[in-house]
Amino acid sequence: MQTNEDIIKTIKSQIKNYEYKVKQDETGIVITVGDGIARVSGLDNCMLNELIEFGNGDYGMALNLEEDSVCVVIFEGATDLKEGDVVKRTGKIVSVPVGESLLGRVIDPLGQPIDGKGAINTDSFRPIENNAPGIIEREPVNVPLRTGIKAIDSMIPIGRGQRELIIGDRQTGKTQIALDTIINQKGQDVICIYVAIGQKNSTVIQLVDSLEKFGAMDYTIVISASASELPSLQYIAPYSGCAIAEDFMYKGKDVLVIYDDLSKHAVSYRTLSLLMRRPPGREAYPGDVFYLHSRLLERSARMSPAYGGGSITALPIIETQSGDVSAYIPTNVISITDGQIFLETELFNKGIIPAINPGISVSRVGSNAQIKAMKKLTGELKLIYSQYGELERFSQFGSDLDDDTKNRIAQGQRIVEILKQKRNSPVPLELQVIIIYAGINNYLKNVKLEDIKTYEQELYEYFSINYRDILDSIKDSGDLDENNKSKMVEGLKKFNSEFLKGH
Amino acid sequence: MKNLSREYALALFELSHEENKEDAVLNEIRNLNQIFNSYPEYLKILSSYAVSKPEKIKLLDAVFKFRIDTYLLNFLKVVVQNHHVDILKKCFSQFEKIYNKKHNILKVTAQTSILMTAQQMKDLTLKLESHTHKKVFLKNTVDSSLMGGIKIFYDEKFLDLSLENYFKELSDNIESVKK
Repeated sequence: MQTNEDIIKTIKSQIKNYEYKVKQDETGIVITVGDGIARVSGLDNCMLNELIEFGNGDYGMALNLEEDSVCVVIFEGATDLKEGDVVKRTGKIVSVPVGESLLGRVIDPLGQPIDGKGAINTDSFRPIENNAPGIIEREPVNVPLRTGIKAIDSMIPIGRGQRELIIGDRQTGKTQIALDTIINQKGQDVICIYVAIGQKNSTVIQLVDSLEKFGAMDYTIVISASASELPSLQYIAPYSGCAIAEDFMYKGKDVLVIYDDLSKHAVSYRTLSLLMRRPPGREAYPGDVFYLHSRLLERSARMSPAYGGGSITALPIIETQSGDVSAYIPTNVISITDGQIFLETELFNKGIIPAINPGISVSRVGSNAQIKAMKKLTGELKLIYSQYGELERFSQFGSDLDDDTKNRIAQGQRIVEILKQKRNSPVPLELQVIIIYAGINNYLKNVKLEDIKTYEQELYEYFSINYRDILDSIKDSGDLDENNKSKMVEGLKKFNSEFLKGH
Repeated sequence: MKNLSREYALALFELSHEENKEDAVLNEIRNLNQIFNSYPEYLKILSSYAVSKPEKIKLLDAVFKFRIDTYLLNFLKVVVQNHHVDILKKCFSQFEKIYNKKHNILKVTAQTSILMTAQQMKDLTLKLESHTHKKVFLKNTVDSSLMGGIKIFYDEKFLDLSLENYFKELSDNIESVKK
């Protein structure tokens, strides 16, 4: 080649002309786009989980950093994105606004308001991914979180800082339990965050309406990534909720976070992973679907007083198919949480609402998170309940049973009646103590089954009026001393005779 | 992906072989390799998505038109258009491999502790040719740690006839006898 020098000269000048154009540290070019994922070449200095800005103001997150391209998941819109568009780094990891100004608002996982009540005024932001608190910073769970649901507070008590899974088939009342818990936090100094993942928009608005009706929106934040949002938003929704909760926790507050539901969250993560060509594993979920949930739920903790003393209680919800709790995602989340509340379709259809099966529901924190007054009753309650469960089958042979069995069955039936509860009607712990005491000590023996509901309501009224001091003492001290106990027994006897006279 | 560079190289080789231009093309490829090694930024420009395909074709024409064989220029254009510039170097080395195989050429490297004389090179070449029945191109590199003797590399094979190796084997034997 005689003209080597010419070649080299031309090459050198071309390099000089195109050098700036080819420098791709902070910008990138879209190579392919589709299904909510954009593959971008360039972005050499991009960080993992960094916020990437598209030309038209939409945002995405860099989820896959490969050797010669970056996979960016699009958050919203970006419907006019095309090949060759330029994208920019923002230099920030995906963050969410935090602070008191979020209370009472409904927002999307990026912190933008969707309730039409104006912009959110806050200067503090927090990255959505954070490390969970270490062992030294934690404190054992021993303060109760009152759900106001008798079946839970008595037999499956939840403490502040615990993770309790609510698991059941569709339409068994899982969300309602979460809702009732939020409503019962009025006056308990607990901030509530409800994360709706993949829910219908109509369901979310109904929920917000209920919360507003019961005055719960003052201390609640709702984060919604509905079914019509891109899977990327559904993927980050629980982490945003957790980040907002963490900000409160590190300031010493108690927070309740509800993830409704994590099954849909796993599905949206699977969608993203398959689109990014990550290898599918069992049930086509990617290999790190356990880590997906474990890193989320580990961020719920009770902090020791040296670190503020705040807590995050998590109530994740999982929907099973036909009661199959040995499927992949349910078993994963069961092994992460500190207990589960099982809801069964059978019980729901029989009219036992909430459809909780206390036999297989567990709370690993248990009585550490119960007031003393309740602790003394739960042992016997559980025993009677499980004995009744075994004897229930024989109740069909009405007349062929001995008296003892008949009495046990009658008592069991009455206890099941007591544990039924209407939606949006939380019962304060003091009153729970009274009615459960009445149930396990057979004060309901002569009350007809159909009258139990009325009995309960009138009992509450009776004690609220005439024995206010006992209720206040239980509320303040958490215990039922001998003096109050004898007064309570006396009150029960009096009420019983009055009630049975009228019914 | 592994075989893609081979496919490209084979295509280019067969094309140049048909017109008996393979020697010329091989020379030009060697030259191009040198140039691209000294100016790696140029390959970066050719593989970047920031420059449009028509622009890249124009760039290639500006540099190489009438200065290298038309087939080779078109080859570069095809590789650039398919976004395969990252395997261009592999294509070139595969081309050389195919050429050597076709012409029964074997490239041998002989490593000695001191430079071999011309006569020694000739003798070794003849010996290797009679042994492998191929045309041998011998290259000599120097490595003083060998102390003496010779190490021969060819075709992923490796013959260690150096003094260093001899001493090493001797000491290993002594060690095993000691035990």
